[in-house]
Amino acid sequence: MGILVQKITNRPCTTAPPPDKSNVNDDEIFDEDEEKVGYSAARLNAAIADLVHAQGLTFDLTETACFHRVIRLAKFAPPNYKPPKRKLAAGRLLTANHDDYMRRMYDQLALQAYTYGLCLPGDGSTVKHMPLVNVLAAGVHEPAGVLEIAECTGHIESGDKKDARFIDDIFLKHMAKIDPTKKLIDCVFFDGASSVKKAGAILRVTYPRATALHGAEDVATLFFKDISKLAPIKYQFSVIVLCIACLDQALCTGPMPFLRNTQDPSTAAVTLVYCVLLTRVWWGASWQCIVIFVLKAPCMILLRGATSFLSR
Amino acid sequence: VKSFKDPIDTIQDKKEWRRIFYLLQATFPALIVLRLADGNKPAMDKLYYFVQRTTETLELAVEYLNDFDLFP
Repeated sequence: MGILVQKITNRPCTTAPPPDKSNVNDDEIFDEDEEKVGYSAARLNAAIADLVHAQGLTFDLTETACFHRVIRLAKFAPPNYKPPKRKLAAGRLLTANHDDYMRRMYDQLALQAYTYGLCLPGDGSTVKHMPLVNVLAAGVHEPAGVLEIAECTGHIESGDKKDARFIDDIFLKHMAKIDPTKKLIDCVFFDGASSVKKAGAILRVTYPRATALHGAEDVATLFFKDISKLAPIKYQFSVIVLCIACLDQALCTGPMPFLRNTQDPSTAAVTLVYCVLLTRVWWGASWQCIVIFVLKAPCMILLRGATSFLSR
Repeated sequence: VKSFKDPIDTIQDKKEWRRIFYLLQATFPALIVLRLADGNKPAMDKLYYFVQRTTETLELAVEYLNDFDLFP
């Protein structure tokens, strides 16, 4: 092992007697002023930590395979090696890296695709007012490959929508590239939005082997979102929110101190209020809130019993 | 105390409870669908069944939901 380490790093083995310093060329580490500073594990660790902290990188960077590769290759770099400039890293090297990634991903997707098929999940999203369409691909050897994150600002600017036809065009471009014979892709997967659902149906016709799937939870949530926007139901929500808020007030801090120790209904009421407040995010919760409201009707009857007291 | 009057009227209003009842009656199977899809258990058979139930319940509830006396 010692010989192996010595061979790889060309560094004297720890079991060997300490060498003459004048013969050690491997520890010739130079600083920015081209002064010989030598090797120090503590100094190297501090430099890596400084890199992570100063550049705001994630702490697990030091455990990533990419970083280990950099360190491994850096060991063999000559003293006059200069790292690439930022323009090079953001230009040619980025393009080369992207091409390499795409080539490897297409290779992985093609592996055993005839046996196991390919799945193309996709979704439309808007990030900071930027309309995007994500096109992913999954195979047996590539669980999540990013084919494209298409930016649709130009399309939207021209007055069009991110409709089914547009999404189809983006997907078909990649599907034709991956599977020109229409024998590999057997699944396209979208969320519950109507535009992508329709796009899935069109893709299913274009690629007869493919099945279009949708996220069931998203479909159900969108159903509740749509019906929650209707005026009578919106009114009903506001009434129930008011009732729950008052019920909570009555049970916890209201004019019925003997109910203050009744933990269960008051806790339920507080939960309900927060539940309704959260419905701005998740619409199905508001309907579940109504169910709990009805189930907790005994509390309301208690409140009704207090009406005579309040009306006095 | 005065702020309690409106909710109490609401609670005592039988029409209000009927509205809530019909809304829940129409959407309860859909809520079960949502819970099934939301859960972390395989439930495709139940999901299919409750989707059918949702369709049937909505069809039955059309008469009540279109009642302008209840839902003006």
